[in-house]
Amino acid sequence: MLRKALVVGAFAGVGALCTPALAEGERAEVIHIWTSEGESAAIREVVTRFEAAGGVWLDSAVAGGQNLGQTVFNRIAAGDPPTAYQGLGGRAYEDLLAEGLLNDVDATATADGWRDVLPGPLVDVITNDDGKIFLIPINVHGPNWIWYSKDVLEKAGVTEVPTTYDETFFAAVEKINDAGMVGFAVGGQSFQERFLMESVMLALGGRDYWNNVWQNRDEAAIRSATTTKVFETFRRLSTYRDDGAAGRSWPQNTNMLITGAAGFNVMGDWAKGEFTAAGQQAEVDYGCILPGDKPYFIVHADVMAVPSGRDKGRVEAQQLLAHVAMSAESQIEFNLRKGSLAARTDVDTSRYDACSLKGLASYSDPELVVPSVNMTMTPAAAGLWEDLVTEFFNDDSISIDTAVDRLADIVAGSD
Amino acid sequence: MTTQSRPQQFEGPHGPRPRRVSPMRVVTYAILIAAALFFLLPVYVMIITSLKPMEEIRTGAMLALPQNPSFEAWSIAWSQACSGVRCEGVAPGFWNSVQITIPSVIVSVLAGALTGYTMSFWKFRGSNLVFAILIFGAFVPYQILLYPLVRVYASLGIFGTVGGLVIVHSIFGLPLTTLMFRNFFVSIPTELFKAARVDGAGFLRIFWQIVLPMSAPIIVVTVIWQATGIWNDFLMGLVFGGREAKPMTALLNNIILSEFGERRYNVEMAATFLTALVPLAIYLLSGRWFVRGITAGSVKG
Amino acid sequence: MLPRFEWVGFEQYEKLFASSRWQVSVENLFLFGTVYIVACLLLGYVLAVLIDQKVRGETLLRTIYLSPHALSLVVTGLVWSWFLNPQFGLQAFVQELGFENFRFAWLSDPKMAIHAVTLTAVWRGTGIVMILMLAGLRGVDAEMIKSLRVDGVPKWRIYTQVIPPILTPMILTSLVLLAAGVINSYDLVVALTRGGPGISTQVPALFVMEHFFARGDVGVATAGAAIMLLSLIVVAGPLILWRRIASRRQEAAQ
Repeated sequence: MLRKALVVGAFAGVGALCTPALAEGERAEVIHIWTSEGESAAIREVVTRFEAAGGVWLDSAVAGGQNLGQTVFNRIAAGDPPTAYQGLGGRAYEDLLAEGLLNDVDATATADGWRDVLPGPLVDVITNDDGKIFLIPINVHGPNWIWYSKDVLEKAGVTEVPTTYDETFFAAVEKINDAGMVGFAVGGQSFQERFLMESVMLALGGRDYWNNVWQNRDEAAIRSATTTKVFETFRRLSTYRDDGAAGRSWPQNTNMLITGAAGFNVMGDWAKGEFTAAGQQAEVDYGCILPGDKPYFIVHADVMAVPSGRDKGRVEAQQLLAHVAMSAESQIEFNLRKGSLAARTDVDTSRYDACSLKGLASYSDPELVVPSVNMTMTPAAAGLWEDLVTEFFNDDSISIDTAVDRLADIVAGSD
Repeated sequence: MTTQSRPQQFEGPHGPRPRRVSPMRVVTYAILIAAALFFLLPVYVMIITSLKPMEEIRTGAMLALPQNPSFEAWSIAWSQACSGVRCEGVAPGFWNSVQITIPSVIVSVLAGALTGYTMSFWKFRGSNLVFAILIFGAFVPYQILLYPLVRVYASLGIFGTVGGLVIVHSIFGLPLTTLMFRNFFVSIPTELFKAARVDGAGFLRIFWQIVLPMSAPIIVVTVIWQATGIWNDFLMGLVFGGREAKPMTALLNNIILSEFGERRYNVEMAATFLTALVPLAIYLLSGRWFVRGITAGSVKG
Repeated sequence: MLPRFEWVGFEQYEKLFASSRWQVSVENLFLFGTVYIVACLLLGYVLAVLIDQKVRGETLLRTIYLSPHALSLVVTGLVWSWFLNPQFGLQAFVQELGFENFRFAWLSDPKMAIHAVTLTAVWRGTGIVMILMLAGLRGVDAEMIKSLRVDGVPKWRIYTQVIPPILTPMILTSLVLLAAGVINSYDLVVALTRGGPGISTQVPALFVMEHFFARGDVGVATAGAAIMLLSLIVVAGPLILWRRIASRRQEAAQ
């Protein structure tokens, strides 16, 4: 009987399929989220060099941070962790470290002299409590950039390009609005609103204020007039939302600049990917500003973490990955394609575009660079901060005093 | 809606007699077609977007037809779009998905049919409680169940195998497949079942020869439900499945969900369609099995 | 990252209930869940009944109604967000046709955004209800219906009063299926609104998932999950008890 045969076949098949493939040693299974065309070209620069150095790369890309988080969590829980996985530089690794679930790459980092070529705030983030380097900082993004369309500014008659969120900026936005375009394109998603808020906060407060709030957790700084001014400016920005702002993704938002529909927006420098894909050039078709009285820069680093495990060749593969990924050559080639900055400050920058050069100047200057909120706050506190930002931005009934109180609670509540 | 006659007698194009179209008939079709439009509108947007170049998507109106329709995005989506280090489109995942989906659907539907059958006709002490717990399982977020299951798998050593994945899909599908079958069996007249028992038929014989043949519609529904769910899953595949045999939807997810990379909406739409073709084909092909179950079954039984 | 067990009393629950995001999530769950379930059941039943009138192209229509189910949620979420975007979606389209006062901006209105989620969910969920109802209808004894018709019972009364009780098992199946979908629905929200504008379309599952995986806040996440399960027991428990008593009575009557 056909039905019976089908069923018996299916069950027999399941049995046969339960035999695991034999694992080879000496290879790196890497879970990462780099899947777009530009990102893929970037990671291939690392993969080719890794394989040339004798490694075998097993690619387990999974787009979407949430998907990556779930996959990694369950794989580690199952005792079947990948060789390396991508994450954000920050405090999210503390629990794993405490439970001994992560290896370090300190041998390679020391041999290759990472501490000499990486800025201090970044070294702090990738070092564990024993003083060992345990994360591989692949690249650095600046999330606090203002972008603008040169074409739109010209059409609207804006002659003075602003440098921060001041009256010049708002006058330019108004002028573009009056000319019938969108002056300031807001991407109404909570993470975009948070990047905007942090950009404003650093621009208006400066490096010391930023560090006092997030690193030193100084209540006087949190309750200072600067914070009030920051929230006021942020609320003022919320009034420039056009009808389509809610839920608008950052690529759509960037496209508004590309197509001449909008003048300014704020986004991390991955936005360059969209400009490049549309054939636009930095400081020719579009401009970039690191806002503030000085061009401050928030370090937002993509890193690789290396879980511990008993399989043969794991540690060797991890050390090899660390060595290859952090070579000056991989760093520059990866980041040229990704649009980000090499984490190392000693690489050949002759091929950086105008905006990357601006970014590099700030990133290399200890007076201008600050750690991101994820690096100083626990992931839970950073999440509460994002909730506060998006609630405040979208609900005028939340007063500035309330917002400041909540900020103080969040900062005080973080370990 | 006012007649009991066979369809060809009032609707067939080759019907010899002059037809009278009743107003109810017109209303019926009007509602069905309006509903079809509602369900197809986003699909329409997806198809026309997949035929436009990015330039036109950036500047043009969303609902406008493409100026120069091109299938370039489709070919990129099939064989060139990047899903990580490799840029081979969704094509390499096709057979992997088929290999995962076919055994998973067969096993999980049969498992559901058997438990549903047991709980309807062979009630044991506490079978209602087992059923209640099972249904409760449908509401538990699968992420909560995932963790213990992962631990069990790791200790059994079937982690990272397709067979393990088939079992996972069957377990997660069990609450709803059981529910579907059980609630369908409720409507089967028990006389039929009792007669078979009097004839000396056993547990499995009644299942095979009487119950299953009568269950065509609910089998089709369950197959549709499970096949869609399993075909579209990629997270279980990533957690439990093989590292190298990636299902098509894992590739699709990577093509459409880059959070910080540049976006190509035309390729994303085309890839979505290419991946959806298999479930859509199942919906279409299920048509001829979707007949009146009980009457057909009782004639045979 | 991995669960560690440490007795902290009800601290996590206090944090949970103090969170405005959780409060909005719970409200949304009821608002979204009720409208979604009722709409899917009604629409699914009506479509199943109409399709069961021996219409032409039944298979094609069924496939069309089911098609949203087959398409990637991420991309349908994207397309719906375009479609509902007042700037270049339906509102812009209708305004260009000359109806300049036409307003359809649910996604940008914090009060209406959750209904945009419901609309998309109904679009996605109706097909499977329709096909379940249709499977049920195909099991209804045609002879009985015929004899009722001969007795002069009008068709609309058959479909509003006679058939629904017969379809109770299928309605219950649909109900469980839809309710489970409501409880676990976060991927649709992520695809469509990511919980925004502000926190206006947050749902408990999204809250739990995000706190567990992205924020490493296992305490608050599991507190949220526990509340979800508890409320489920509160709602479903009496229902199951009632059904058991009913079936006992039935057996006793026999």
